[in-house]
Amino acid sequence: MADIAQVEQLIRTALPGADVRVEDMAGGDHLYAQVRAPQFSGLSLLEQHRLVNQAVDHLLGPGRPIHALKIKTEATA
Amino acid sequence: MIITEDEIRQEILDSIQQNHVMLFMKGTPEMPRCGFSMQTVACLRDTGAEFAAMDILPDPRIRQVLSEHSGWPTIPQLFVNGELVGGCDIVTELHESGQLKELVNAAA
Repeated sequence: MADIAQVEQLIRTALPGADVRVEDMAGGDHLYAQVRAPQFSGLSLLEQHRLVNQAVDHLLGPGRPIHALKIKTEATA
Repeated sequence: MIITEDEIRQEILDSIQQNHVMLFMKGTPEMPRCGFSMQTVACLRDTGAEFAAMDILPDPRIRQVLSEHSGWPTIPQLFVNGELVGGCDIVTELHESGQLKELVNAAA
């Protein structure tokens, strides 16, 4: 079970100025993060997703609060 | 038979190097054991390209070694021409934009 507000805050801290919305897709451990950030500009999708994954790295994986994190990224000016 | 972590690492690296389109997944393309793996297989099948797959479930070290190598925390993971493309979300997004087909067909 992940703390949605905490996950949002971790992503905002990693990507200052980002517009972050995290929602629970199922059971509190399948989350969906929608992130719009200026830092994504010029990066590949892989690099964009890496930045989000890295922000919550310690919460993500087998036996940790987040089992699956669906990510949707968008670069903002 | 006892398989060492080094042997697992070698098998993962070999499979990435030897297959232009290589998918690490839970279960098999015929019988995926996770919705994300199933969706990724469906995207790949839709491109018509051939791909190889490895089931990461039989030994927990496979996933651990794979993620150490790729720096990617979750399964599935798609590699094209030895490079990580991404997981289910990225593959789906590339599929929807038509880029996945270009990518895998250019790899063959």
